[in-house]
Amino acid sequence: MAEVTHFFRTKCSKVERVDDQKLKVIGYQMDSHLSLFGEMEVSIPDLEIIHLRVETGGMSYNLPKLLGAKIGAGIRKIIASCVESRLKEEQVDFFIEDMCDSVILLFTKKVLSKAPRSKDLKEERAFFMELVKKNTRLLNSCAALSTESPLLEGIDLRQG
Amino acid sequence: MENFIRNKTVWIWKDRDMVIVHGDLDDDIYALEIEIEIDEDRNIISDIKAKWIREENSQCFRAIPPLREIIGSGIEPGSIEAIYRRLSRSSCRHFANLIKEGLFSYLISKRYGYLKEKRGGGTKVEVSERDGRFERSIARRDEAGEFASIIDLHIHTYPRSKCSVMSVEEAIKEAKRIGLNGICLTEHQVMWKREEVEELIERYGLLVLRGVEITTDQGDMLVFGMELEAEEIMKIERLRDIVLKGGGFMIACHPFRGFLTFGLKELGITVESALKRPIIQNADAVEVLNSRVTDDENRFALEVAKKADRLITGGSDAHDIGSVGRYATAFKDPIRTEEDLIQALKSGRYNPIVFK
Repeated sequence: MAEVTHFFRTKCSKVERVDDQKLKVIGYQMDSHLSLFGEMEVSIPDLEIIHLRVETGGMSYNLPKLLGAKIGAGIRKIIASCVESRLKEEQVDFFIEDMCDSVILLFTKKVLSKAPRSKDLKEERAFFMELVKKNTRLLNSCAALSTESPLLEGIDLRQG
Repeated sequence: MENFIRNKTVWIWKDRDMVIVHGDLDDDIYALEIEIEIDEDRNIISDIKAKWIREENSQCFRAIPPLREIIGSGIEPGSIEAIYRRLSRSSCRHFANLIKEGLFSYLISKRYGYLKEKRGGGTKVEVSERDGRFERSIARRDEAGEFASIIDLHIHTYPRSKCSVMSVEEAIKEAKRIGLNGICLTEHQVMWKREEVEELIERYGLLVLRGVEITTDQGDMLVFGMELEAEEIMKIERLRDIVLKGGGFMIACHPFRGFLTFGLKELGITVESALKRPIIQNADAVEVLNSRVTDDENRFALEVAKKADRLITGGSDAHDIGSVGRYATAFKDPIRTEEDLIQALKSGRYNPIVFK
């Protein structure tokens, strides 16, 4: 590790289910330059942003243009177009992206918790083959789920 | 309850001509690390190393080799987005996310001058991490403009500081009464325990922070951001080493108390000679408003601090109720915790103020 750190950043996002209809997300970032705090509420099952507030530099922003946006494919573009440039300079857009990512990862965690824990490639392959057949967007979504990976080698989506 | 938590940390430092960006990501599914080497002059990525700490499946290791595709890439906001999109698919979106975090942090550190060389003088000084745009000046409370938190950074209470005639309860009640956002307990040589101040916060509803005033062979120093106590007078260089290793922050408090009793001319002190004093050279900041010294001594401390390019703070040094909040420090960023305080102190986004 460095003898002298010039810049330090720590960032945290946490999402939890409030009830059957709502998720709550809290984001926090602190670095050598500034601090950000954010809170967001998301409806279930639509994953629609129903409340959003970000604090930076002692000011609070409600970002009304993002209310109603659905967390899912295309959300990064929506955030980029709805966050004003002054806040982008403070990387508020990336901060909100991370809060949205956490919502997706809450559900990813649920799905992946069913993955086989053994090192048996056969079992693992059966699980991921099935997963990708059900959600074809996952194919080639990362190196592990590429067509060259033993997990999906020879996959035929027509059979799904 | 169903939940998900992700934590990320980025450190940036310099190694010869290179800037090193180190990042950790740890969440309920994955844990990973990256280290990016940046050629600062050419503003390009010159190397990258990465490893999984906790992966999700047996093939996640395949995400590492494609990361090298970004070597040679320029570092601008647009190119960082392109890197993110590219690596999300060819490698893994969690590595892509952490790399984006690291490169965005690099952009901020570069834009606001955090990568400039540290101050010299034979001692490594951590605090050039600060906002160069922030004008260092003293203001009156009503002229100070918008600040998120106003905190008296220097308060002594009895019995932990034998010289004080004020209990901690009295200090807190008075701080609340006059409208401070918080106080910092800075007893001589000893620190309050974290759980003790948490109990005070809960009981009185006012932010109570911790520091310590350490007596050195060169004068008194306020230390924040670390656990520290001393039984005897310390050599200032030793204190500096301890604080650097501990990630703390040092403020030279009342550095010229009593020095100007006979006037500057009689003592022959000049700003130029004063700034070479070890108490200034080893400090991250200088307390330029202190209620137990003369106005001339405060003014002189301000002149020296500016000439020495040190940050400046204010604190009452209260030992009695009437002095609480006489002077304070107004922070641009909200202070809610000790961690907030240390980051804010290092950022330089504050001014000493005459509070009452």
